[in-house]
Amino acid sequence: MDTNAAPIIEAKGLTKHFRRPVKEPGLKGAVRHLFRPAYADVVAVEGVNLSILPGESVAYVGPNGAGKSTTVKLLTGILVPTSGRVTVNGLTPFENRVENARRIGVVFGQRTQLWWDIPVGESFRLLGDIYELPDETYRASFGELIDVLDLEPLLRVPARQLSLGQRMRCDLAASLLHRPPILYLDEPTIGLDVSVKARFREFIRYMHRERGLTVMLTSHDLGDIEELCDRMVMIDNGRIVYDGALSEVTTRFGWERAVHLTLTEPDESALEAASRALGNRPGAVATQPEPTMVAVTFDSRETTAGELIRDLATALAVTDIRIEEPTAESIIRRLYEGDLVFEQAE
Amino acid sequence: MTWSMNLSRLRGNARLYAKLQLIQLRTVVEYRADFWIGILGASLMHGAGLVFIVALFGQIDELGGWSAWEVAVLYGLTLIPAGLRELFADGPWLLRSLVNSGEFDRLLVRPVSPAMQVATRLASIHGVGQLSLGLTLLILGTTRSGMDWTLWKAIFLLVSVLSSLGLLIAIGFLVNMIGFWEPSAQSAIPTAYAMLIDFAKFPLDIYSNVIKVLVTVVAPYAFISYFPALVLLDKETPWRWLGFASPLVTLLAVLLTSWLWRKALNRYQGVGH
Amino acid sequence: MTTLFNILITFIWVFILYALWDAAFSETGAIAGYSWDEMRTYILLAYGINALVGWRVASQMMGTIRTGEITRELTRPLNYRSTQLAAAAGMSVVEGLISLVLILVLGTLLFDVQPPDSPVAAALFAVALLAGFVIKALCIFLISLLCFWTLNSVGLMWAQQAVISVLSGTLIPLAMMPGALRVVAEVLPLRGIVSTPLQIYLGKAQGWDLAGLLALQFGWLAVLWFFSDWAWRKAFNAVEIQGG
Repeated sequence: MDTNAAPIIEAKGLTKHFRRPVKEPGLKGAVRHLFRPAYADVVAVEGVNLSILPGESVAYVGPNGAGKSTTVKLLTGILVPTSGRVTVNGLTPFENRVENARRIGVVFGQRTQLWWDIPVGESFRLLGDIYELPDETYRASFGELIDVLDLEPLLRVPARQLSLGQRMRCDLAASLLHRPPILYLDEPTIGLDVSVKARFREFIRYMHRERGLTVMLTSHDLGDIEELCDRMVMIDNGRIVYDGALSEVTTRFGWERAVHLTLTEPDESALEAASRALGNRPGAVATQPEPTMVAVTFDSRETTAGELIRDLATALAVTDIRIEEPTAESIIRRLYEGDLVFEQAE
Repeated sequence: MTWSMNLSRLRGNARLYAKLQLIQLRTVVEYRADFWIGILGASLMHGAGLVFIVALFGQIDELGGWSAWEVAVLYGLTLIPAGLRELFADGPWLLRSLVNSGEFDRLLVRPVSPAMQVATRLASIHGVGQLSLGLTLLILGTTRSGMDWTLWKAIFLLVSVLSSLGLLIAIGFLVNMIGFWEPSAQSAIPTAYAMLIDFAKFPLDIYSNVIKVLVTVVAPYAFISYFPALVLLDKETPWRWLGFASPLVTLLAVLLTSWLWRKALNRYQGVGH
Repeated sequence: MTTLFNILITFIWVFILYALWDAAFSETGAIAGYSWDEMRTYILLAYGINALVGWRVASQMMGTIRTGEITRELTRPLNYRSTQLAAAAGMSVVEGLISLVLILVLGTLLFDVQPPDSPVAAALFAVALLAGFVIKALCIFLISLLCFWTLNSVGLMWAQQAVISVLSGTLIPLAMMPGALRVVAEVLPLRGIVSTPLQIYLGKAQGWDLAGLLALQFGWLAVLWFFSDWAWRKAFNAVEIQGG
């Protein structure tokens, strides 16, 4: 990766508000809306700054409704931003939608871009025409993709008869046929089984490493993110809350830890004793998942594991102690589940 | 952009259009049973109206001053462009579902105009039924009613069929664009508007004034059959000149449609509301 | 709302037919034994009756087979044909009420519809109407079985609508049909849907003629009743063996 290169995707202060009509239910509401329409302003994306270099692979993550899809739509030119700038391949996508479209590939996980009723091979040919690929380019590109994705046996099958996994392979080929430098993947592995997922990831890694493809991936699948991306951007409530290496997310957000204590014997009163011992420790909460086990979660910014263990070791008969470090995975999972609140990144 | 670049772009688009539609049609033909059932269904549906005319003219000689063969001309003039539209531009009828399901997004990340992608999205082989029935009726009708074929009438016929096709395509877009504004819109509104074309299969003279205005102004289907037929069959009425106005009506409809299309796209992309 | 619109759409042809017959009757007093008063009544009621088992019923029956929902239906301990009929009846209550209202409104405001020929005719009309309803539902059920073999349900739908609208006498009374077609229409069960009830309503069939019409209608009803069940079993087994 050339770190001196100009970014291939760049967004500055990218903002998108939607105006949603507010209608009261029923006919009366509909009629009233006709004469005195009321709208609510919904913030989808607010002041997003993003700079992606050629050849990077970036995971774009966040809970449902956080603004992931909206950002992708802004970057691909499907939506026009309310304010802010966006440049992709040196073009402003919504102003040069057609030119931009030639230089990007997009995979929407749940929707296919193949023609439903016609054989896959014909779909590819049509796409070659749509992207106005010269014969030579088409043949070379087609040949490579067929080879790598092993599509030969599927070419005569209409898309509607493909399994989900087969369709995903075909869709990948369809999105890369015109050799775009950028590939957007929007929830690409939804519904795929484990082996198909592995194959999908292997292919993306190949294109990324061997062909220098810039990849931007939105996914709920932590495996996708871990295996495919060097960098992770997290969005919550329309704002970017984290932008950095996947491995570093723990140092930034991993303040929530746990201590697991194994007791010498089953003890009914252990939880009470532990709670009493922790009385003055802010943010520390004890639970007793098993009769011989007490777990304490705490905030590492306020308390240290050492202090906790000291308190607990005197109150309980402990045989073993295990300190649980948060993994990136658990942090992202909790982000998705909405029970971890992020401060905004500076 | 220079003129020649524009022209080559247009040629490229036309070629792409033809390819997209022909591949779809060929594929449909490959599903034998479905193909024949489609043709049969369409032929029966339009043939039913025909049975009615045969029965009607078995009982009477003239209908509002029109002979059976002259009515056949009207029928043919209606079915031919309708069949062509079904064959080559049935896509707009998928527009509402494309917008509702969000699949319209996909059309916006391709380097081809979304309008063309919508138009070519569906090619209905059923159109063959309408088209062949229409051609048969037109040929039989014009010869049996004793029409004088001249070169300029042939040209006139060609122009009006093409302009009718243009009008029907524009209407197809126009009525289905409602999906951009009211995603949950009643599917029956576009269908009802489209079905008003059935009025055009019979001479306007027999209808009440409300219906006359309806099919001339509100849903100008009279311009695909009745008015051109006045010219073709040399009918002496004060309205005959409207037969020449068909291309103008098409032009207006196309302009209105493309203006609204641009507004619809802007709305979808969230520019101005 | 959608139902209302769908029924209204079919009523476009009521207006076309009204205009056509209005023009035709301006030249002559009676056509094939029908006066203009009777013809107006026939046009409107025919469309109202034919709207009873509408697009929705047919598309639902076909959809069940096409989408594979049929397998769920089969796990129920009920006769499949009968459950489909019951569903059709349920849907037709709504469609029936809407088209009844439309007929009453149009009938009094525009068409000046004639009342039934006699109280007896009115009662027998109701009986024939009910039998016609079952006949139509059974016919559509039989056609929907073809969905086991084809994906083109739209084509089937059109074919079905076209054939029924002609042979039931919705589009034109049987008496006005040209020779061969008339013979076919008079023998087939589809006349029981619209033509038979309306002939009774208008008093066109009296005495033995009337008895004959009803006998034919109920005879066909019985045949279709048993045939549909048998055909359903055959169709289902055939497809299952093919592994379709």
